[in-house]
Amino acid sequence: MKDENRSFSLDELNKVSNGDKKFVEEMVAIFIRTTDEGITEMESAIKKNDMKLIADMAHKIAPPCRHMGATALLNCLVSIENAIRNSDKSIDIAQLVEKAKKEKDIVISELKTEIIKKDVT
Amino acid sequence: MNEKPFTIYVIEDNEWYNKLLVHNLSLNPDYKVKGFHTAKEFFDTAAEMPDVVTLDYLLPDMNGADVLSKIKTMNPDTEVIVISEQENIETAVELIRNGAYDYLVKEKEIRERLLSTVNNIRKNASLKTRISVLEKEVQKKYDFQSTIIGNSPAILNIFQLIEKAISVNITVTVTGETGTGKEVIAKAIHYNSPRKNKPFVAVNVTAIPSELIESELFGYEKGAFTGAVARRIGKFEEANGGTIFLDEIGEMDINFQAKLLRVLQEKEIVRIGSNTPVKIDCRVIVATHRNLQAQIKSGHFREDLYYRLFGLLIELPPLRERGKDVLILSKFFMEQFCKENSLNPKSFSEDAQKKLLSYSFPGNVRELKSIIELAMVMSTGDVIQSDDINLASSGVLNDVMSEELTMKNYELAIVKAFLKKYDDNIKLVAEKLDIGQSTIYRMLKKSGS
Repeated sequence: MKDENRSFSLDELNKVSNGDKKFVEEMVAIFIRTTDEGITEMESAIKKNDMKLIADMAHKIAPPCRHMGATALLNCLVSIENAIRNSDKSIDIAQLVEKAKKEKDIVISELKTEIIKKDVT
Repeated sequence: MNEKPFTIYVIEDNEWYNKLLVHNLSLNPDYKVKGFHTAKEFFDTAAEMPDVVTLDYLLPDMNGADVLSKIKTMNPDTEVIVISEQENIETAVELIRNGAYDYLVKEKEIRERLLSTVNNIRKNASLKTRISVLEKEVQKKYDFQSTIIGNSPAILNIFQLIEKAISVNITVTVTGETGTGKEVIAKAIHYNSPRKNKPFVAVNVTAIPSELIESELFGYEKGAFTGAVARRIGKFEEANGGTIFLDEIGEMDINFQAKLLRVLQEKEIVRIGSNTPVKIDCRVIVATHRNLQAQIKSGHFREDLYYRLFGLLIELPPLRERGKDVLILSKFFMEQFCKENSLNPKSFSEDAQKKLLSYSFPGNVRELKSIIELAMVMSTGDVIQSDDINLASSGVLNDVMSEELTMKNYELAIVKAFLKKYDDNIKLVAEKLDIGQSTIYRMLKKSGS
C-alpha cells in the first residue's frame, strides 16, 4: 500500500518483480537517472523556448512516474504536455517546469532514502 | 518437440519503460524478448522479423505509423501492438486499420492487458500455423498424380482432363459408377486449382430431403420458417471463392432444378425469407452415376440445367476396365493399411493376383479397398494368398461374367452360380431363370456335374 506521506510507491514494481530485488533496484536507479536527465533537458529547452522538446520530454518521462506512484510529478508533466500540445497560452510553462523540478527532487530524495534504508536493514 | 521460440521485440525509447515491458514479457519462459530504443536500432539489428512487436507510438527517430507500415511491408505476419502514452481513438482506429493488432495506453493496468493481448496473438499464431500445416497436408493429399493411382490408358486420360480442369474455371461433370472416386477427382481439381485456399464444400444431394435442399444450399434468414431461430448461410455461400461439389446431381428434385439453374445463370442466391440476392463466386463440380441424357428423356432432369452444367465431362472408368491398375491399387491400399496399423508390408501371391484380376469389382475402387483391407486381416504370413481374398460380397454373376466363355458354357456357369446361391434348390433356380427344371438336369448331365 502507498504510504500517503510519501511521494512515490514501489508497490507495483515489487508486484511485477516476482521477488527480484535486483530488478527493483535497477528500475529505481533508472528512474532516478532518466527523470533527472529529462527534467534537466526540459529546463534547458525553456531557455531555448523549444516548446516541442519540452512536451516530448514530459511525454517521455511521464509513464514511469505513473507506475512509480509519483502522482504529483506525473500531474505536472501531463499538464505541461497538454498545455503545449493544445497551445494553451494561459499556462506558464516555465513555472510548471520549475514545479516539476521540485516534485522530482522530492521523489528522488525520498527514493534514495528508501534505498539506503533497505540496504541498512 | 523442438518448437520455434515465440519472439517479441519491444521498441520503446524510454529506458525505464523499455525495461519494464521486457521484464514483464520475459516472465513467460516461452517468450524470447528483446528491447530496442529507436526504430533505427530495431531495423538495423533485427535480423528477422519477430512474432510480435510492441511499438511506442512516439519514437524520437520515426513516427509509430511509419514504423508499423514498414514492419507490415517486411513481414505481414508480424503482429504489432502500439503502446501510447495518451488514449486517442482516431489514432487507434487508423493504426488498427493499417494493420496494428491492438492499441494500448500506458496506464497502470498495461501489464495485464499486454500479457493478455500477447497470449491471444500466440494462440492465433498457433492456429494459423496449424491451419497452414493442414492446408499443406490437404494439398499433398490431393496431389492427384500421387494419389489417383494407376497407369492404365483410361486413368492417364483422366489425368489429362484433370490438368485441363485445373487450369480453367469451367464447370466439371464427373460421371462414373459408384466407388470409382468421383469426389476424389473433384477434390483433386479443387486442391490443385487457384481456389485451393478457399473452401471445398461437398453436398450429397441424395442425403438431403427434397424439402430441405433449398435451405441447405441457399441458407435462410431468421424467422423464415418455424425453427429458423437465426440466420444460416447455405452451402453456396459457404463455398464462396472456392468450389461446391454437388454429388448425385441426377437425384435432385425436378422442381428445385429450376432454382439451381437460376443460381448458376445469375451467380447469386437468395436466402429463404430474404429478398436480397447475395453474389456468389464458386466453381461448380457435379457428379452422377446416372446417364443424365436418359434422365432428360424420362423427364427427371431438366435439359436446360444439363446444358448449363455440362462444361468439361470427366467419365471415370470402372475398375474392371482399368486392367492392371487393380494390382497397383491393391499394393497401394495394402501399404496404406500397413502404415495406418503399423504392420509390415506383404506381397500378393500369383494366385491372389489372378483372382483380383479376374474379378469385376461392381463396387469399383471402394470395394477393392475393402477387399484388400480384409485380406490383410485374414492373411497369416508375409504373402497374401488367394484364399485371403474374399470376394463374397460380390454377386455370383459378376464372377461368371468376368471369364471369357462360349455361350453354352456361360449358360452352364449361370445355372451353376444360381444353384450355389440357392443351395442347390433346382425348383427355385428354375423359377428364377424362367426355365424348366428338366433343362437344368439336362445341362448338368451334359456337363458331367
